[in-house]
Amino acid sequence: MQYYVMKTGMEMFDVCRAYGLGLVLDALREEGEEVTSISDSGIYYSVEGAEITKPEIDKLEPYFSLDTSWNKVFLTLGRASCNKKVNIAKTIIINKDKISQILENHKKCVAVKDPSNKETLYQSMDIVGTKGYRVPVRRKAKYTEGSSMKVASEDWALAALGEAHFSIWIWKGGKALTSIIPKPERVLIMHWKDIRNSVDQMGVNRTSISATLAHLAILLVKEVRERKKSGDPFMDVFSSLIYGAMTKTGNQWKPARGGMFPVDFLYDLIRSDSEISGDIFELWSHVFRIGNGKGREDLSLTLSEFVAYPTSESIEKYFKVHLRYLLQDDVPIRAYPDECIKEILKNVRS
Amino acid sequence: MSEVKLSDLFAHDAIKDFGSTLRRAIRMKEIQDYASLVELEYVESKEEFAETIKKFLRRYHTHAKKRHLTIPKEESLDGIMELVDKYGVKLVRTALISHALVKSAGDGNEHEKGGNNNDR
Repeated sequence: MQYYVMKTGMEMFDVCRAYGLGLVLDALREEGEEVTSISDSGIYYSVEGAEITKPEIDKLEPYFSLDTSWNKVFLTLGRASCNKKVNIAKTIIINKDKISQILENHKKCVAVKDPSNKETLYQSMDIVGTKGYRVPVRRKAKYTEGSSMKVASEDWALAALGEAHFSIWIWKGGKALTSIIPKPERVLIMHWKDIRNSVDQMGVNRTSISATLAHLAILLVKEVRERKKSGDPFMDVFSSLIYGAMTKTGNQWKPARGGMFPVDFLYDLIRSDSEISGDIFELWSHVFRIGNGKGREDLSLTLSEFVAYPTSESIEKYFKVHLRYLLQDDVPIRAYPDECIKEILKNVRS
Repeated sequence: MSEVKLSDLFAHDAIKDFGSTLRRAIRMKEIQDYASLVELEYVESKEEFAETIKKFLRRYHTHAKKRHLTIPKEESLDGIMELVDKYGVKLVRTALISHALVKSAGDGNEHEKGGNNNDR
């Protein structure tokens, strides 16, 4: 059965809704029924899954336990308000009639309408939801905080559910938090759950947001490659990492940066030579671990620039820095095997 | 200037020959010719490139004589200048630097490290 998640243009919100719907379908399906997959179809996300006629809503209960990432989904709220919001999401999703209606609505490929029931889209759910982004805050006569963005409560609940279970959160010193979620091109929900849990356990480089994203992208694609190599015929494909970074100023969280980090170059490496790509990812992961040390930031920054924009200029910049560290006795950095360099250079774009 | 893949340049005999010499010159503890590396990094024109290679070879020859190291062939020198003419300094320089990063096999005196996972 095909379900549609129409895009609104708010990248993180859209992808979280698709994951939220995918999670609901995957949780409600019976053993042996169609597995849930998500693919990007341009103006909408296509969610393929089982046709749910009699939803056993008890199966969704564990996804709302408060020990998950809910406090980060509602980061800008206090604990009490956060719990209240989780309960609102829960009452929308864990309700036989409402969930049946939500699934029914997603069977139609229609444009998003202005809803009657609305909820606030918080900046932690999508950085574009930040107050003050869309209206001038300093006017001649008065100062305004800006208005919050309202979205349909059903979409909001699905997005919150998707973000709580699929977003990867990276803290930096308790004062900065980045929410990262891969944009699916063709992904199986059950695979992605495992991949996400495994990637979430690994430490990433925290030199800068782009270094974190590049390291995470490498770990993610490395995991995808290993699953494929272990004999799984389906290869999950992500097109980019969507991220929203926030920093705390006093008691308030403010938006820092948001955007998309491309991962297509890493997939190009797998497609070009699956065997060698594993060695390259391993080596780059090692470089990011070395580059996480104080005073070695240039290593992480140049490699992350190359992963995002694999051109001859960016590779030269990175190789020069790598070579410098290779010549220092106190830095345990590895040299490149010949075949890895060949493979990387083969995929560099002009 | 015509289009070329960096991997093709990397595999070119002249680049291979010069690249492995550069690797030896930079990474052998007894030589560690950082000056050539720095000069090469800032080269912009063909003339500057030729001058840098000349200086590099002069320095390298001194060590090569003492330690009986292989020196680049003359045709490699011609070959590398032809490549600079065809594809420009930047790409040739990137290909050369790439060779300097390669894990060496058989060049026993080179400063080699890493290769295990104990750095985590």
